[in-house]
Amino acid sequence: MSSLIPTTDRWLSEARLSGDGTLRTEEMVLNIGPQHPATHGVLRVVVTLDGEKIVEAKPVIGYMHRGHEKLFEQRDFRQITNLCSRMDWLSGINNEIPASLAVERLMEIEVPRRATFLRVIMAEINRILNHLMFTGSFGLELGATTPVMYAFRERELLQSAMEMATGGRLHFGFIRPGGLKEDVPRGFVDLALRGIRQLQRAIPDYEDLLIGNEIFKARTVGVGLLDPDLAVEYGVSGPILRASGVPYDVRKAEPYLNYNEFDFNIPVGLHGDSFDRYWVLIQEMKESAKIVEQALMGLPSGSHIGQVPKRLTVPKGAIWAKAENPLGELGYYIVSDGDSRPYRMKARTPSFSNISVVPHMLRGAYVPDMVAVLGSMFFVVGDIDR
Amino acid sequence: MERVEPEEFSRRVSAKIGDLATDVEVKYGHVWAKVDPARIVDVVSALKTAPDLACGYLTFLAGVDWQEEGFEVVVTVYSVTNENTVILSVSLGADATMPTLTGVFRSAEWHEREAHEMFGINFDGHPNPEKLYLPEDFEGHPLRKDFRLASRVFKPWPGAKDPSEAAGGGRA
Repeated sequence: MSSLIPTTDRWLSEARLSGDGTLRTEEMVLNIGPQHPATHGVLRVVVTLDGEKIVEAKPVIGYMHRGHEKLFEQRDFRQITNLCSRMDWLSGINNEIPASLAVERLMEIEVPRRATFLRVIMAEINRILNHLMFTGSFGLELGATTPVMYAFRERELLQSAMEMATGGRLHFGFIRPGGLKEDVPRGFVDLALRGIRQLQRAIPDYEDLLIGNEIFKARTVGVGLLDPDLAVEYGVSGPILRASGVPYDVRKAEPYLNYNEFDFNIPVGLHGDSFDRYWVLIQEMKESAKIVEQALMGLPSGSHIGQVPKRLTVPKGAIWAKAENPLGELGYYIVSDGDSRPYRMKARTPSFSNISVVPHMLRGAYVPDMVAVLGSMFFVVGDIDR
Repeated sequence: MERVEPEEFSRRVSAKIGDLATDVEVKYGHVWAKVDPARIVDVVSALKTAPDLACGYLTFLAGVDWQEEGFEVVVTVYSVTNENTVILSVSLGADATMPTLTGVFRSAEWHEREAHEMFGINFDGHPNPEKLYLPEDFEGHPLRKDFRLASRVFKPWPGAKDPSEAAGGGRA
């Protein structure tokens, strides 16, 4: 009777007879996206997997390519503002600023002080709005649904302040060569200040919710390490570069507008992992809030736009103008042939360079970590594809 | 990080690559120079490796279509430690070809693929000269001046006109 029930030894020896003792494995190619919740839009990543391990990851971009650089050549310099506002749709004001700076430098237009202050205020409010969005979405991607509710609560007042001044909530189209479209309405300063105060009260909660959270740490600490040398070679910028320990920020390195008049710090990470990137993002909101506060307090009176000719004809020449977009270094290389439209306008967008380094970061990572890595690369697909 | 004055940085650049480049000058706070396509790899790698320059950050690489005068490639590198920008202009010959910079900057891969599909500029020795943004079967090079924007073919607005004068113009 007992001989009919195979013992482990006998079973093994029979199994050995039917196989060669080795399990055949092969790599698998998996498509992530273009429509995938972890890709914020239509980024596609083709990953080659060995079990749970990523052997190779290849981002495939271009699903959102709208040909901005071709369209720039068909618009006059005033209209361009509204186009570049749509590249990185989370930070319209920050996209518009370097385009105006380039035209102002080529035409030698003087921008009134009030306009410069308001540009700084709006750029920093926009930076906070962008950072709040990623604070929320990164939590969501890792399975924490609370932070996004908090982030959107704090966004509301600041969003209303921007809407009050510009009429838009996403595409502001408010910067003009020489200054601003119009002056801010009465009540803007109060509303913006209220929004900033509310944010400052809420940030400790964000830090408790995720930065101090054990599960969050387990998912992000030591995950997606980005070496500072590699980051620099790839032209990575913004919070991602600074999280790797490189304190490069255009606002300090090559101050534009009047950033050199304000007191603020550049938060820098130590390890360059997903956790540090998120930490830098939160710290940057504090610094931006400080700048907005100082600028609102010191806001001078005066005109909102300088002396600008009715028809903008930009003198012949080429210029490179850059600014610190919430996601990194954004700049325009403009070639003018003396017309009212640019002959060539190249947009150097931060997400393009930031995403180009992703294959190096994902090599050797596990599939579940991919979400923690991509989510902490804080990119906007419109900013990659233009 | 200590910002080196652009004039001082320009002197350092001249000292290092003066015999490989021409017209080294400072404009709008950045260092500009013209480089021959045959020398661009040496120039870029000298800018990257020289300790007193340390331009290890590839900001962007872009093409410009000058029509009868051929193509230009603009290579911009930045030094994170010295906080200075060098903008190199490379005028290409009739064959619109220059050597790839991927040997110096791995990050040049995407930038060169973009310039290749948008302008038809060839980068000799590029490891993966596929399209970047455009579909594989796309014909033509959209950023060339002779490639007309479809919506402008039947409605030439604003064209040479001031937008305010355009009568009944549509939008692209």
